[in-house]
Amino acid sequence: MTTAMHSGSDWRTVLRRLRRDRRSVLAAAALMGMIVLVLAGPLLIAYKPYEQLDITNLVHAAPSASHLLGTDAYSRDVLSRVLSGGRVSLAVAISAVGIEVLVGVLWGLAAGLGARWLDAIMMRCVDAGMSVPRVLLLLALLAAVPQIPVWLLVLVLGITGWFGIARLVRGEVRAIRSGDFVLAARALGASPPRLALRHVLPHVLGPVLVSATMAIGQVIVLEAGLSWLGIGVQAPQASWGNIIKDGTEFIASAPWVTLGPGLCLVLVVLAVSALGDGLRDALAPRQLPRT
Amino acid sequence: MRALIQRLWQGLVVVAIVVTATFVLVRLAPGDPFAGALENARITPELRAHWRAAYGLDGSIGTQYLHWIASLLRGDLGWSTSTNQPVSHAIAQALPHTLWLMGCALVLSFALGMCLGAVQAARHDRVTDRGIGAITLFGAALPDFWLALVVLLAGSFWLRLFPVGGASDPLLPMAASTLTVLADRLTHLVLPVLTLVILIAAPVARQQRAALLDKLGADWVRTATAKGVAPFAVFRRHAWRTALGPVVTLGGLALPALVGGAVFVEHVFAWPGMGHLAATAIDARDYHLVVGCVLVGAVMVIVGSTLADMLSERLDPRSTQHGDDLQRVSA
Repeated sequence: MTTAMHSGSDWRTVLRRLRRDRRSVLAAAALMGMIVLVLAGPLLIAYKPYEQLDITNLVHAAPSASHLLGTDAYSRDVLSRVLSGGRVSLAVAISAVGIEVLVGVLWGLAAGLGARWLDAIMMRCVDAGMSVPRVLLLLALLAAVPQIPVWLLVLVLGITGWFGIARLVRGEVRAIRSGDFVLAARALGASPPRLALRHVLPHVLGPVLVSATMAIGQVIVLEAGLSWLGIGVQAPQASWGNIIKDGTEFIASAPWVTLGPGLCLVLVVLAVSALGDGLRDALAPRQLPRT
Repeated sequence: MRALIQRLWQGLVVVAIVVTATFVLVRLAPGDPFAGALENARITPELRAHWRAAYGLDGSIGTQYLHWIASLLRGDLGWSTSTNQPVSHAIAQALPHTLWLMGCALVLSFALGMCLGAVQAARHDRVTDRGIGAITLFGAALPDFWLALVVLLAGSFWLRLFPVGGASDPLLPMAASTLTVLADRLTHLVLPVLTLVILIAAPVARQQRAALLDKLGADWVRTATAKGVAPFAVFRRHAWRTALGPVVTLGGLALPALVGGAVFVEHVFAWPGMGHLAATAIDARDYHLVVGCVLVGAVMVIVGSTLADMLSERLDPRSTQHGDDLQRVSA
C-alpha cells in the first residue's frame, strides 16, 4: 500500500464492487442487524437491564423461553443486559476509532507533508508507540483512576491506537506528495492546510477507511478486556466486557452469562474484519495477492 | 555488525522514550502514593513529607526524573504494597513463568500456523484452502480473554481433564518423583498454551499463506519449474524458503499484541507470570507494580521485535551466497 492506486476508483464503483461481494454483504448485514438489535433492545425485551427480578428463585436461571440467555447472579435478565451493554460497547468502540482516525490522519498528514526533520521526529514517536503493547499502555494509564468515566475510557482508547493509521497515512502521502496535482495545487497558491485537506486527504481516505473498520474490532475487544479486568466501563453500567466479568466467577455453574456476550463480541469482530477485507479488495482489486 | 549496533541504538532510543513516558504517566496519576492509598488520620503531614523525601517524590520534576532514572538503572522499581516486597523481586519471580509459557506457545503456534498456511497455499482455492481459511478467520476474531475462559470451561469443567489454574500443584508431595512433577507441570501448561496457540496460529497461518502465494508467483519459481526442479522442491526451497522472512517479520510486529493477550490468558489461568501479576496489581491498585510490569513488558517487546527483525534479515536468501545466485538468475 505505498501508492495511491485506488485514486482511480470513485466511491460509487467501490460500493458496487462491495455489493457484489457476498462476504461483505453478509458482514454488513450482520453488523447492521447487531446495531439495530442493540438500539431496539428496550422495545424487544420486557426486562430492564438493572432490574433484579427475583433474587430468591431466579438466580442463575438457565436459558429458557422467557430468558433467552438466562439470568445472572443478581437474577437480572442477561439478554437485556447484553443488548444494553452492546450499546455502550459499540458506542465506545466507534467513538474511540473516531479519535484514532482524527489523530492518526492529522499526524500522518503533518509528517508526510512536513520537512524531513519533522517527519523523522514524528515517526520516531510513532515507532515508540507501536512497540509498546497497547494493553500495557492502557493498564498504566487507567490503573490509577478510581472510577473511570466512559468519556475518559474512549479518550484513552483513542489516543493509544492511532499510531498505525499515522504510519499508513504518512506512507501514502510520501508516495503522492510529488505528484502533478499536488504541484499544481501548490503552484496555484494553496495554503498548507488546504493542500493537505482538500488535495491530499481524499487520496488516502480509502486505506484509512479499511484500517478504521478493522480497528473497531480491535477496540471493542480491548474495551471488553479492560472492563473484564475492572478498569473499563464501570459496574452499574453494563458492557459486554463487564457482563463477562460478572459471569467469570460463576463460569462453572452459569456459563451462559459468559458465553452470551462473548459470542456477540466474536460476531462483531468477524463482521468487521470481513467487511474490512472486502472493502480493501473493492478499493484496490488489482492489488490482491491472487485470492 | 554495524547494522546490529544501529538496531540496538534504535531500540535504546525507543526504550528511553518509553521510560520517559512511564515517568510522565506516574506524575499524571492523581495524587501520589502517600496521598490516596494511605488515607489515614493518624498519618501526620510531617510523616507524609518524610515519606515523600524518602521515596524521592519531593523536589522539582527534573530532580525527580533523575532520581527515577537513577533508581531504575539500579533495578529499583519501587515498593509493591500489595505483595509487600520490592517490585523487582515480584517481577523476578514472575518473569521466568511468562517466558516459559510464551516460549512454548510461540514455538507451537508458529509450527502449526506455518503448516496450515503452507497447506493452504499448496491447495490454493480448493476446499482445503477455504476450510482452513474460514477457521483461521474465526480464530483471529476470538477475543483473547474470552477464548481463555471458554477453554478453561471446556477443559477443566466439562471435560475435567486439566487443572483450573496455576503453574503447578501446590499440594504435590515434597518427595514426588521427577516424573510426577514433570507431568504435573505439563498438565498445568496445556490449557494456557492451547489458548495462546489458537490466538497466535491464526494470524501466522494467514500471513504464511499470503507470503507463499506472493512468492509462488515470482519469476525465480517459474524459472525453477521450467528447468525441471521437482514440484515439492520448488515449493520448499524456492517459495517457502523465501517466504520465511515476511512470516518472521510478522512475528515481530505481532509481539505487542501477543504480550497484551498473554496478560489476559495468564490472568484467567492464574498463571503466576507477568500478566497475572499486572492484573492482580490493578485489582489491588498497586501502582508501582503496574508500572514495573508495563516497563518490563515494553522492554521485552522491544528486544523481541529487534531480534525478529534481525532474524528475518538473516533469513532473506539474498543475504547468503546461494541467494546471490538465485537473485542473479531471477534478474
